[in-house]
Amino acid sequence: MLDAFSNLFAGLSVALQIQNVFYCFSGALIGTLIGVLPGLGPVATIAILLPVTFYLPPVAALVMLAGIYYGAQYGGSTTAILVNLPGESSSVVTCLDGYKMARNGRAGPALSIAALSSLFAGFIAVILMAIFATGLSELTMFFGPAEYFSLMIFGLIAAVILAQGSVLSALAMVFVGLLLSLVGTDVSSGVQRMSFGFFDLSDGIDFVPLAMGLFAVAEILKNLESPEERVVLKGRIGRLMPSREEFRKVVPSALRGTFIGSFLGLLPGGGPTLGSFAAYTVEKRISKYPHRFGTGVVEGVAGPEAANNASAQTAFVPLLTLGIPSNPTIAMMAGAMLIHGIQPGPEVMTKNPDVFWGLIASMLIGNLMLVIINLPLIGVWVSLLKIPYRLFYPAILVFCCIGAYSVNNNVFDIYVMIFFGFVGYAFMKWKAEPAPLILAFVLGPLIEENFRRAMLLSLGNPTTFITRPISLALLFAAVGLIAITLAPRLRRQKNV
Amino acid sequence: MRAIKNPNDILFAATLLLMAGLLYWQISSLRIGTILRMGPGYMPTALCGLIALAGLGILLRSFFLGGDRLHSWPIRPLVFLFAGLLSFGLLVERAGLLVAMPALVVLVSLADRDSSKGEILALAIGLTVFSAGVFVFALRLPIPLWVMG
Repeated sequence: MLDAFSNLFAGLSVALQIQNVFYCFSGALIGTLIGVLPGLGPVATIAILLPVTFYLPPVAALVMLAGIYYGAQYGGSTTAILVNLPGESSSVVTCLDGYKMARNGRAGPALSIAALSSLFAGFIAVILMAIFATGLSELTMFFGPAEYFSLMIFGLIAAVILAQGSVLSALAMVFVGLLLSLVGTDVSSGVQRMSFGFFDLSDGIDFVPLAMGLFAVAEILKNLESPEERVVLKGRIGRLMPSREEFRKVVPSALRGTFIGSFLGLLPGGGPTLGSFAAYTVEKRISKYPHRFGTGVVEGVAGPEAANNASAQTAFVPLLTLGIPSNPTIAMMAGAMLIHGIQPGPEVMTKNPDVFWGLIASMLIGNLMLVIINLPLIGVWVSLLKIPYRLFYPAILVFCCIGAYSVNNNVFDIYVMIFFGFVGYAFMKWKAEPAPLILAFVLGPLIEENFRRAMLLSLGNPTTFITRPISLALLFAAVGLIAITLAPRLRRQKNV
Repeated sequence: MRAIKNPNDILFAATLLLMAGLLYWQISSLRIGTILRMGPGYMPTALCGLIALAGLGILLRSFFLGGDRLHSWPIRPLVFLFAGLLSFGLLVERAGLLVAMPALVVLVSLADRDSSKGEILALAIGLTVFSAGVFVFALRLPIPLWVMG
């Protein structure tokens, strides 16, 4: 406990170096920008900026990329409140009460409640991260290949269940992602797998162009097909300060949201979207006036906004301690760490303590900056929302092309991006989300490797996964997740 | 009553089956091995099988679960986005960024019907100058600006 705090202070001294403060600010600014603009999410943005960070020191690069992720949680709520469009998927529930508050003439307080709840959650989440991370890194002693394998299976199952659309389609996406991750030279035998004779595929499919294709190009195609109506709230935003009465209601909601979000962020497959939905449900359930939810109650803004920011931060813990990315954005962060020669996992804390604690401590600074970026400067973001999409998507594509090319200075990566852009668009049309695919793609090699090792250790006995207690518990939890999602459907079918 | 309730699922399933088949053709000659000594073909073969199974499941589903009518595919955005991105890929090393970038911006802008000539011109010049300035000069990414024919 005390260790965690002294480490956090050491991290703060890294995060406060002028260069890191600058990159933290850049990340927060870019994060707010993409959060405000619907149609460009953190996954695509990190993919685009990854090649640019090659030239930065690792701490600066990671601090900036992390800032993009949690900064997007702030920006996303602005669009949700003022336009009734979620800037990010994690601010979907903020539309429900946030937009209604704005319609009731309380846009200013709604914005400041969202930002201040996020700030509050961000600070507490940093402290929780320090404690969780210290605890989890001790737990890794008990983790062998079988446990890692089961943990990743649990994460993939969770991703399947959280995806919108049918479970079967999401499962298909996981299988496709796993198979794509095996393209290229097999590590243990050196033979080529599924490279279709392309020399450029012998190192496998690079995940930067894959993510750009699936998350940026496909998204643009989708948006061009069905142009969205953006009606920015007319009239003034008004006073930002919430009333005393509102303030009194906000504090407990934000606190609950923070803890719900922090916990759900830790789970593989979890993250800000899950966190915000869960917080909204809880707020509604324990409220004395659940029927008024959806008409502009402050608890419906404070809880989810605190939760999505807290989850965005604690989602880093499994990556930094176990080496397992729990959602697509964190998977991009894993890629960024690998590019900078840092193997995500328990060794980050011991081998690169400045990276580990510097990154966590930078979130304190980032959150403070974000409140300043978001509240006094709200007018800037509102005017950005008025830029028509047709002037904006060519710029995204320019960044994608340059980003994809710069990964290996190879034109082939641009073609990979194009290919997966069209594949991803088709999958989207068929109501299969790309999120489980990219998560499976990142976890694929780890799953194969750990499965192979677990089999060697147990002399080819597949029961090793259910005789080791931690592994069994994880698999049991995965089965439980499936049961929970299938149960209401069965009941509904029986009732009909 | 139509026999096929969700024609989109048929296309989805067909794509998955095609993918499984195509990739299996690539790895069918690899050694599969045993669970203890997994060969390079073990995981890919299993996954091709699982993708095919999921495809069959979705095929089956299309006969029972209703869905949207057959989606139309927007020709204009698909063609112009593809043309723009492809021409950037083809031109960037052969002609340089100063040629590839305007080609990309002009073509992809045409994907949106509402773009006007003035806007496209301004975007093409603006984004080309911006990317040459930021990526090539400031960040020193090794992208050729101008390749002499």
